[in-house]
Amino acid sequence: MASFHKPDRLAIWFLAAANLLLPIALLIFATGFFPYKPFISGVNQFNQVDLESRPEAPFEKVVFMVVDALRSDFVYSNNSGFSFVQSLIRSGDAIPFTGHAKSPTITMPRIKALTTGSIPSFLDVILNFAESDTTSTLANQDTWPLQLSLTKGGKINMFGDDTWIKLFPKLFSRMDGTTSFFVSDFTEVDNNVTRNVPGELERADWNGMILHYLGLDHIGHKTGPNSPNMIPKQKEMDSIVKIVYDSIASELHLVSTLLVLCGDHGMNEAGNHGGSAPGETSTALVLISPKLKQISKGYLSPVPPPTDEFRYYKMVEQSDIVPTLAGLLGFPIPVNNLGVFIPEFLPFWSSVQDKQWLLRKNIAQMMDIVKPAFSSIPFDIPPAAVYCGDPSGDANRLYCGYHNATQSLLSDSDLDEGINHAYKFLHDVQDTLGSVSSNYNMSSLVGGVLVSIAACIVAVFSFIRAASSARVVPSSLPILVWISIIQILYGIMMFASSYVEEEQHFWYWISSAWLLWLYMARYSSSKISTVLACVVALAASRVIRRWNQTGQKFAGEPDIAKTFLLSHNRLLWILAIVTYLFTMSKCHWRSPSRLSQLAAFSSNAFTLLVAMAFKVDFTAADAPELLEGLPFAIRIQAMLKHYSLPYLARHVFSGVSFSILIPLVLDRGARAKAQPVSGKLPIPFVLTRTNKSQSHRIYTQPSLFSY
Amino acid sequence: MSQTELVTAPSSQSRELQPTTTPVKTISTPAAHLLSHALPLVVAGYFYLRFGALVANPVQTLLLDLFPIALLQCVQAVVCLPLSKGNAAADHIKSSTSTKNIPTRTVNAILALLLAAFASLPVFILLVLFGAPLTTHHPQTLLCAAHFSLLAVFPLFYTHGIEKQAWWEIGGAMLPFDTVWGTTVGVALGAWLGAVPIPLDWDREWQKWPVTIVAGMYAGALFGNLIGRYILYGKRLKFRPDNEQHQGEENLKKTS
Repeated sequence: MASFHKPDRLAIWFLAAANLLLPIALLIFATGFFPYKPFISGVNQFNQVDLESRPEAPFEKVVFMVVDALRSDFVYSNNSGFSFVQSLIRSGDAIPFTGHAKSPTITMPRIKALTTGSIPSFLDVILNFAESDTTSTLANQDTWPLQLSLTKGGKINMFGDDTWIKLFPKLFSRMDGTTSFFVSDFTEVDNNVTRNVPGELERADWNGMILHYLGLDHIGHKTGPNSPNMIPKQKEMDSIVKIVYDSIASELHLVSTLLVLCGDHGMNEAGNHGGSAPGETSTALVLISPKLKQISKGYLSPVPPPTDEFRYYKMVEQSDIVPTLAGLLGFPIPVNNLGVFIPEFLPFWSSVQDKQWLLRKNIAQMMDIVKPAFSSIPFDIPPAAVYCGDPSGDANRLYCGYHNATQSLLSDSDLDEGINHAYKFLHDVQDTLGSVSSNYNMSSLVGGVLVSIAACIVAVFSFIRAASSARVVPSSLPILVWISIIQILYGIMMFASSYVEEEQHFWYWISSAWLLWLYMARYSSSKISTVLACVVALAASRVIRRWNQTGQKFAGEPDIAKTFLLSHNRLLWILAIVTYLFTMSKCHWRSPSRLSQLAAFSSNAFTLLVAMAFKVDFTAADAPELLEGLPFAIRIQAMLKHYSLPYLARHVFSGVSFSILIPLVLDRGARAKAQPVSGKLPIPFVLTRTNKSQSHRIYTQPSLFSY
Repeated sequence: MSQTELVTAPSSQSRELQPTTTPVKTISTPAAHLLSHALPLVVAGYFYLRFGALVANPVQTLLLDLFPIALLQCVQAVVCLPLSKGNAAADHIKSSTSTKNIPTRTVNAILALLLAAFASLPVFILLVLFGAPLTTHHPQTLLCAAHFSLLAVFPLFYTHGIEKQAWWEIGGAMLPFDTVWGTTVGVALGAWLGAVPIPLDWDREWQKWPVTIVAGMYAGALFGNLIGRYILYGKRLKFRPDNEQHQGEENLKKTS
C-alpha cells in the first residue's frame, strides 16, 4: 500500500545506471583478480649437448603416494601412526620435509602444483568444481608424469582419486579411479587403491605409479584431526609404505625405485581445508629409498612439536618436488616449474660438474619464465659491475642475481660459493614470481572497487530521489535505517580478512541488536506476549549461534550439532520430523473444493513420506553414525534397500511439483474469489521442504571439498 | 487505506503509557561539579591501569576491582547525584539536590549497591543471550555482569530507587538522557561493540573473553556519561516514528 504511484524519472535513470555499473565493476575487478598467467606451452627436452653431458640419474622408477590431507604432524609428531616411516627417517632410508602448500589448499590446484611445479591461481578453485571443464586438464602441459612417460619404456599407472585421471586423460596405462562422493566412506575408498598395489609391485613393466588415498581426508572432514579413526588410518597408510618399501628393498626390478610420500594439503582443527592457515598449508613430504642411506645419516624421529606450528624439519615448497624428481630420475624439468631442486639430494652426485649442471638446468628453465615477465631487461647481456652494487626493484635484483649465479657456477674454483649464489637466485625467482601480489593486477582491482562504489553512490541518489518524491511510509523508516546500518557495517567488514572468514559472527552480532530494537519498538504499546516473542527470538538466535562451529578461528570447538546432537541422535530425528510436519502443515491449501483439498493433502503427504525416506537413506550412506541405536530408522533403511537414492530424489521432486501444480490447476476459478488472507500460495513452503531434504547434513563442509 | 484512517483508528487494545520521568540533574555545588567530572575519568583511568592485570588474570582482577570501583561509584553517587524522589521525601529535604545528609545518602548508596548486585543475575542472562559463552567461562561472565551492573545499573537504582514508572521506562529504554542514563546506554553499547575484535585473527591475549567486553563497557561509561550529560540531555531514544506510537500492532494487523 506504499504510494509509489508516481515514479520519478531521474530516480529510474539513476537506478538503471547503478545496475549497469555493477557488472562493469565486476568485469574490471575480475580481470585483475583472474589475470592472464604467462603460460609456456610445449615440453622441455634435452638437446644433444645435454644428452652427452648430463649426470647419471640415481633412480629409474618412482612410486608417488599422495595421502589426501596428510598434515606434517600426522607423520612426524609423537602421536603418529606412521611408526615404520619414522623408523626409516631415523635410519636414513627416508628424508623428511614439510611441504608448504600455497592457498587454495584443495586437491586439484595442489596436484597441479605437485606435477607442473607452477603456482595455480584461484581460478583453479572454480575449475576444481567445474570438473567437466576440459580446459582444466594438464594434457597439454609439461608435467613430471608426462616427462617420465617420455623416458625409455615410460609407462605410468594411477590408482586413487580420479582427479588425476581427469587431469591426465590418456596418460596412464593402468588405472583405477576412486571418487569421494560419500565422505563417510573411510575404508572402501582406500581398499580400492590398495588392492592394486601388490600386483603392480610384482610387475616390471612400469616406471611410474601414482597412488592417491582419500580416506584420511574423509576422516578429517567428518570427525576432525583428533578423531579416533585417525591413528588406525595412519597405521594403514604406514603399512602400505612398508609394503612398497619392502618390495623396493627385496625385488631386483625395483632396486632403483624412489618412493615419495606426500600430502596434497593439510587440514585445520575442524578437519577442513582450502584456506591458508598453518595447519592447511603444512604437508608431510618424505622421500624414501634404501639408496638414500648413501646421503643421509638419519634424522631424529619422532620430534617434539616445533615452535613454528606444523613446521617439522626443513620447509620446502611443494613445487620443489618437481625439479627434484627431474634430477633424481633424469628427465628435463617441466617448462612452467617454479620449484627449486632440494639441496639435500645434491650429494648423490660426487662430481662438481654434475651438481653445477643440475642447478644450471634449473636456472635455465626458470629463466624461460623470468624473461617474458620482465621483458624490458636485457638478461643476456652481462650487467656492469657498478650497476649491481645496489640493485633496486625485482627486475634489477633478478638480473644481477642471474649473472652472479651463472658466473660463479661456471668457475670450478669455489664450489660452495657458486651453489650458494645459485640457490639464492632460484629462491629469489620462486618468491618473486610466486608471491600473491604478482598474481593480481592491483590497478584493475582498485578500479573495480571504485566503479562499484560509484554504483553504490548512484543507487543511493536514486533511492533518495524516489523516497522524497514518493514519500516513504513512515513505518518502514526504522527498517531503512537498520538496513543502511547493516549495509555500511557489512561493507566495512569485508575489508577485514578475518571477518570474511568469520562472517557468521557479524550476522549473529547484528541480529541480536536488531531483535533488541524490535523489542524496544514494541515495548510501550503492545501486549506482553509480543515483547516475550522478541525475547524468545533472541534466545533462539543464541541457540543458532552455537549450533555449528563455522569459520576458522573457533573451528573444531564444541557445538550443539557435533558435540550434543551426535550423542543424542534421537532428539535430532525428533527435531527433523517436527520440522517436516511443520512444513507440511504450512503447505495446507484452503480451498472451497473438497476434491482439490484432498488431492493437495495426499500429494503433500506423499512428498513428505518420500522426502523423509530419502533423508533416512541418504543419512545411512553419508552419516551412518546418526542412525546408531535407532532400530526404527535402520528398519526403514532396510525397506528402502531396493530403491536408489536418485530414484527417491526424483519422487521427492515430482511430489513437490504436484503439490505446486494441484492448487494452481484445480482452483483456477476459485482463487479469484478466495480472500487474500485465507490462504497463501504454498510454493515457498514446498521449496523449503526440498531444501531440507538436501541440506540435512549437520556437518557444514560439503563433500565436494575433498576433491 | 489512507494515512488519516490509521491515525484516527481506535486503539482499544493498547495499554499506552507515556514516559514522564524527568532527566537527572547533577548536584550543583562546586565540589560535586568537580567530582562529577573527575570521578568518571578516575574510574576509566583506574581501568586503564589495571588492563594488563585484566588480560593476565581476568577472574582475579575483575573480582578485586569490584571493590575500588564500587567505592568510586558510591562516592560519585553520594556527592554528585540526587536521591530518588521517594527517599528525598522521607528525608524531609525540599531539594534532593543538596549535599546535606551524607548519612542518608550513604545508606541509599549501599541499598542501591545491594540491588545492583542482585541485578547482576539478569544482566548475566542478557549477556548470554547476546552471545556470552553458556557452558564455559561462568566466573568471567558473572564478573563481567557484576561490572556492568556496577557501572550501569547502580546509578539507576540510586537516582530512581524502585519507582515503578522509572523502571518501566528503563525496560523500554525510554528514559530521558542525562548523566546516569547516558552512562547506562554507553555501557550497553560499549559491551556490544566490545565483541567486535574477538573473531579477528590477531591472536592477541587481550582478545580473550571477556576482556574486550569489559573494556568496551568502561569506555562506554566515560563517553556515555559526557554525551548524556551535555549533548543529548533531556532527549529520549525513539524506536519508531511518533504517529505510530499508538498504533503499531493494529497497523500490522490491518495491512497484512
